[in-house]
Amino acid sequence: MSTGRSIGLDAARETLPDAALYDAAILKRLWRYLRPYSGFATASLVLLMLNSALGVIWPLLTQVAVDRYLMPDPTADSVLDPWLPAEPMQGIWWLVTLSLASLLLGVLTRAAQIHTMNWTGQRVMRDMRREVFGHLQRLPVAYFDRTPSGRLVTRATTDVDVLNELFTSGLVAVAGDVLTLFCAFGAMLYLSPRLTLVYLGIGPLVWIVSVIFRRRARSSFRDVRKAVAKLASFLQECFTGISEIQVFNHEQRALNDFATINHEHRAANYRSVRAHAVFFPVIEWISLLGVALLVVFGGAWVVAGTVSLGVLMAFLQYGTRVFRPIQDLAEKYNVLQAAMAGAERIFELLDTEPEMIEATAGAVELDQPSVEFRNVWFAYKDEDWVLEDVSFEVPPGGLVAVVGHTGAGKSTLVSLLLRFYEIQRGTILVGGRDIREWTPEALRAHFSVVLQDSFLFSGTIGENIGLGDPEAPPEAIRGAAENAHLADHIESLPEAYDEPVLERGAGLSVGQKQLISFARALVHERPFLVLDEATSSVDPDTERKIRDTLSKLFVGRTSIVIAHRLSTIRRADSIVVLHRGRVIEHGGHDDLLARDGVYARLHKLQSLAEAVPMPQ
Amino acid sequence: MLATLRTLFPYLLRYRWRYAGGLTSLLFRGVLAAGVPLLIGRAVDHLAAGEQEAAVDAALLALGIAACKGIAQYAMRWILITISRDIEYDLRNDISAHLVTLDRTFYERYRTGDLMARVTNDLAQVRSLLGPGLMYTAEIAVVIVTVLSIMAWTDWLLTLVIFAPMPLISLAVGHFGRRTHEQFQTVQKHFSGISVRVQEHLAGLRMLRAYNQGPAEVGRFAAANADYVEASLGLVRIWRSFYPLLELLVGLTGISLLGFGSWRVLQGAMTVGTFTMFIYFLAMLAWPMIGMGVVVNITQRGVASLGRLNELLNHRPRIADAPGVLKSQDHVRGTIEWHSVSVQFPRASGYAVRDVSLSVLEGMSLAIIGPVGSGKSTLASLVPRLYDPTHGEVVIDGVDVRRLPLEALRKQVGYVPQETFLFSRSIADNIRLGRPDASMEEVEEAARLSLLDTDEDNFPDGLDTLVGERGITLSGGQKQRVALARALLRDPAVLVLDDSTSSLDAETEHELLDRMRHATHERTLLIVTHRVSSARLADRIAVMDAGRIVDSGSHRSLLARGGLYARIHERQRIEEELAKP
Repeated sequence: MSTGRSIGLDAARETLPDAALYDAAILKRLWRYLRPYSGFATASLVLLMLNSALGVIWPLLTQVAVDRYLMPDPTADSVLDPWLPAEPMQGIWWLVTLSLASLLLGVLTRAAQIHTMNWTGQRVMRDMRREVFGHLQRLPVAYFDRTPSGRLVTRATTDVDVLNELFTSGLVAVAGDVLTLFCAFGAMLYLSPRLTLVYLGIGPLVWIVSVIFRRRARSSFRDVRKAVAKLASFLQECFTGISEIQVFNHEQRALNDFATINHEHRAANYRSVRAHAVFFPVIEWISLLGVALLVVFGGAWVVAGTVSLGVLMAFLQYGTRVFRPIQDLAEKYNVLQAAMAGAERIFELLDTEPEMIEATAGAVELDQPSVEFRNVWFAYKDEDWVLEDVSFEVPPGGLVAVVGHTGAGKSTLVSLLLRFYEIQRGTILVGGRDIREWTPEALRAHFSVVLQDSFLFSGTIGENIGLGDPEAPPEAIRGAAENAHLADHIESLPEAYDEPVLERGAGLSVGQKQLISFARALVHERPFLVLDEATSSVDPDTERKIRDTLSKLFVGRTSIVIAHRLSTIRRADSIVVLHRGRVIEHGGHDDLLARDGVYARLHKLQSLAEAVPMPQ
Repeated sequence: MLATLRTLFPYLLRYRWRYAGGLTSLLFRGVLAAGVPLLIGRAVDHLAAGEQEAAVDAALLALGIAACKGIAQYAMRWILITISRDIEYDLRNDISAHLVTLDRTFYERYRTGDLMARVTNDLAQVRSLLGPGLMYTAEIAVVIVTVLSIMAWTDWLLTLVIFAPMPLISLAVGHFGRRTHEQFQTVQKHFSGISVRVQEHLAGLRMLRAYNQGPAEVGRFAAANADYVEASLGLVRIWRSFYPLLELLVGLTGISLLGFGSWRVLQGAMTVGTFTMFIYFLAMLAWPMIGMGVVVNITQRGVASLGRLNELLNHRPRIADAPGVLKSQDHVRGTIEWHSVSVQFPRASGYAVRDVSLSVLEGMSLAIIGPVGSGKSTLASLVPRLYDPTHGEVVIDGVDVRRLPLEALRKQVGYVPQETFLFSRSIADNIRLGRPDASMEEVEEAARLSLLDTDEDNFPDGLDTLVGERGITLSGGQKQRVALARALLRDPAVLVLDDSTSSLDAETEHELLDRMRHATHERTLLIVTHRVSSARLADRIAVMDAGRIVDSGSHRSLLARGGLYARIHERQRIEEELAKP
């Protein structure tokens, strides 16, 4: 089944290895996906064979019609003779009935074959997509930091779809074509080995032309791909840099450059057009050359009475029939090439190893909800330490505010606590036990999390609030919304909790988005709260709502807050001041103010910031 | 549909002679192709009569005609398909030429990926419509008309019987074509569904991991995946009926030929050779009958894609030379005035700039300072007409900027954005964007002025170092210096620095701005910034908040007044102190 979707720009932009078309390793790996459905696949193949065999029956029947009734020739005999009536018209009806039966059978096998083949193809694609997506779940966060998301989306969508063509229109069609060729030659041999030999005289010509065509097609296909990639990257630059182009009156120059690349693209396509424009007439002419050979040699034999007219007529039909598969095979080349490249990219992603080390002790009971960072060192890369020797403790039910200048390493603390990255030195203890004893999932199940960017996905508002638990009861969601001061707004919407969230939460204010992520945290009765306060400023009314919801969140939870609000900082049991990856001050609000150090300055800054919102 | 296709008329017209040539070749091909079965039929008749030589002559003649047919076919394909490539080429150039005239609001609305998809994928669909779509349509028409008329002329009764199923075929093609189209839309929708699922998953990765959404996300993805498979299988269900049905109908024509044709032969109303000819004609007609479905498909997709391209082409450039534009305005001195300017962006509820009046005299410098979203950048970008004001006017040397030729205006106003875009070429080429005919010395001078030369240790090939994927990645500060060099190279009368030194450390920024001020005595300097340390260098400072000018004056007087400016100043003083090691 061809959905005709283009193989995609992202694919084109990436460097393509000139994948060998029939790369055995890739095919072997693809076979593994086919194996669960081998029953269906085999059925499809059998049906295909049946269909191909039925396809060659028709010329055989015309041979019988001609030799037996239309131009009776006693020398020609056929397997059907004993059953055929002598009266011509009656015999013709017999043959018509027979061909009708074979046609119906052919149509039915065709329908069944289309069904089984596509059913198999779709299921294989589904499994592959599932595997790709499942694999993404196992890759560490760091992998996503360095891989553009567009590329990953392409893996699960376009690349798999191109592969579909390999299964359905590619390999199967190729198999069908080859089978048809075999069946036709079988029938020809059965009718007259001599004439078959004559006909095969054009074989070398066909072979040479096909080889030349394939070589041309391959090189022009490669050129086209290169040109498309160039076109895509130029366009991307143009669209991204449109302001620069316009401001510097560079439009005409950019267009001239573009025209050059566009020209290259056209030239590559011209070559491909020429290859096709030459190939088809030539191959058709060769097929007619075969027919002429049949008329010349076969004709002589017909006149001599050694070959019947009916047999010659059947050969004249086969002569044109075998060329369709040959043309088809030549045309399938590009599809297969693209599919192999797609498969290669998918496998490359699947071969990316998950890095996360699994838990040493499996499920761990949480006795008391405390958190401790003990001499933690962390670097994203090499020894560029983001955190150096960080230690602090949060007692059960306590609230610790982490403050510091931008880039001090605050957000990294959160990522480490949730085990998005592995620390290089030191220990993080939750409930007195090393977090590496948990599986990441078991660890995270104890946390309610609010990140700076309140992520909203397409779905209803209710679903967005219930995020942590797809089966979160509606009452819990409603209660959380109530507590987060969202209920009034949500209930004013036409579909209330079932109101769909627009792309990226368009239609919701920044403050409302924050409140939704608070409500998310409220739905869950989890012992820990990790909160990275958003810095964006909101109107005073929303600010009041946020503060109120925050105070509800802190109750009964052990909380680590990356704080930007003075109200939050003041409420904290203790304050950790991070500066360039180190804890430089640690203590209560009043103590730290009295010390007149970094915290005191930060505090002053914060007071000003709340009066004047400024970028970080 | 016709309204959509109108876009293509000028192009079709442009290539009318080649189209005529291609279609003539197509006609020749069709007629010559019909000659071959005629001769083969005759050869069979000769053989039946025992005249071998005549049969060979007929076969050789057929071979000769087939050679001519082959040449016509080559010409047809070559001409018609290359025209489609030429139109694709023209259209792509024209669309790009159109796109570069569109302003920022357009680019904020259409994402880069979307635009690229249109200029490549959609254009490819339109190309298919113009090339194979058109060629097959004409081919099908010619083959059907020629073959049917020869057949009818030979034996109209037989022809009538054989082609009784023909109307059914067109009905089936129409019906299933429509259903395919509808189902295809559903398939596309679910395909996007999958894509959105992955995209959103990646966007919310941390949050989802934090809440252990792995299994649930896999479930949600599986649901989207299943929907897509279901929709695709819906398409399969249609094809499962459609293709076999077509084969059945085409097969029926063959069977009726076998039955009815044999009867005619037995009656003596037809020769075996004619019978053979009919068999050949049927084979010739099989493709056009099935090909109709393909053509319907190509046409539908082509028209849909053309619609998406028209959508782009229908965007009028909103910032362009108006009819009453002044003829020549080569020399700008650089006095800028904003008269009661307000700006509202499309789909925004409020105004980004409200009723601002401000001015700066030629050769003077003005800083605009204010918090994020205060409208300072918008106000400055009105000068090179990145946007036009909703109300009020921006005036340079007494002339509304909208009356100046856009090209001349932008030549005289050097604009340096906060985030610049560097093309993946050499640094020198990137600087030369400012003035393509600049000599290497001038480029070097501009780089030196922008303090870029100090960084050359980091550039392995100096100014010839490539930028981007195949070259090096520049830091934010380096990029900003390249952007500045670009603007300086043009030697503009007005230099607008739109927060364009923000990635530099305060010291470098100070030095750079100081240079700008001194090196450009006669140049008007507009500095948009959120840093007091930059603003204070200007002759005059305007303080913006929520789209309005709330205060203005010199650094000293603003500080003395103790308003917003003073608070910003105090905040930054502490910040700087904190940043010290």
